[in-house]
Amino acid sequence: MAPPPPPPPELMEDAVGEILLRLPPDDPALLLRASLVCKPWRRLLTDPAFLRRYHADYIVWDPITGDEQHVPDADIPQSYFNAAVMCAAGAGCDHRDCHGGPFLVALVGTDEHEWVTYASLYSSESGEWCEPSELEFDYDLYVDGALFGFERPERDNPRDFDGTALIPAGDGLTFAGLTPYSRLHLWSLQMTGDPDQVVEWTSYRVIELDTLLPSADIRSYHQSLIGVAPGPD
Amino acid sequence: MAAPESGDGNNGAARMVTLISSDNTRFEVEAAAASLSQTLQLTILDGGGGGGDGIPLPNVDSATLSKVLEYCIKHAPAAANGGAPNATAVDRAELERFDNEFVNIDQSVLYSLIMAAHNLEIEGLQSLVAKKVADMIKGKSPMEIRRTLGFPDPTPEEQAEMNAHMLEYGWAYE
Repeated sequence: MAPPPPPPPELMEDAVGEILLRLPPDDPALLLRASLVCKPWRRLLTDPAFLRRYHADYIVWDPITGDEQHVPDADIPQSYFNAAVMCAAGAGCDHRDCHGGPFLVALVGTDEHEWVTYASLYSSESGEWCEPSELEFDYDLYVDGALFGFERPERDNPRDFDGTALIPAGDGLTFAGLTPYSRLHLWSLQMTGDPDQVVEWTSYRVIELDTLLPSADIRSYHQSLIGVAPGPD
Repeated sequence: MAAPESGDGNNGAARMVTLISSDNTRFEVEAAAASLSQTLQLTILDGGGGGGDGIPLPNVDSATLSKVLEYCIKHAPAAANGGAPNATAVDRAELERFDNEFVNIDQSVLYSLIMAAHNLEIEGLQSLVAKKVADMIKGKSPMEIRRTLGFPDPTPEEQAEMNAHMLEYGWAYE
């Protein structure tokens, strides 16, 4: 067989990062060997920005068994993101005996340029993320039986979350996102226990926190959502 | 350059655009497929590429462009679904089969595709071809990687530098 053709020189400059990013991370020696190939590769492979991108996968760690599982990076923007791990055994599982068993990872991420928010779900059984779906925002809000409409904010983009949280809730999952004007948007995701299931997020509630927070002093501070504790409905 | 158009005025048929390769071959393709290219998307959204105008692609030859469009046409329906919550496992398996087959090509074609995917910013294709090359590198020594990818033999200086780094890592060279 004829020797392979030399790569075009531009390849080394432009696209080689894309190639090296896709070296499997389970073989650390491979990165070292690749760094010996030539100077441009070495420069790239020792660049902290590259290494940050390269190691952008997730580890799901079970503190009970010490088991570590690598989850590949999801193909959704993660300028801001939040994730939750769930048992994949479905509604019937009492979680006493499911350690090391199949699990799901839900990820919600926002693109900081377009302010679009996507959600995806990873199944340890299929080893893959499902196709991301876009979370739609609804400018009408329905709180405690009353329907309110409000105008779309002109300057602040409501997709600009001041914090998000993912909360396992019953057989499903709730995603909470705080947007400007202190609006807490809640979406729900119902799990079917079927590994081929499709992520379908339904917007079910928008809460105006300004009406709930105790004093005007608190309301004047910048608000940020850092977590949500599930409680009785 | 293509003059902006208000549309092709034909709501029934899919809108077509014309792309012109570096060797002046014209390709007529559905706008939805060509729009997988981030580079072309804005021009197409502005109404460019229709009628007799065509969008010139001075960096892509006709052989490469035809291969690129084969990918875009295959992937356009799934992309149009916005990543398709309704894509079935069968659809996905079919795309995967297509992708595997698609990169089973001559190395020179692969390189051209990498450059074209990069220039045209077709994310899925960039990822697919980059993965293919990464797979070719796996499990190889630095010298084997150079040979596999068709790098010229290292100059004495390069060789010396490689040896020095190797000693540093304490590894056998090949």
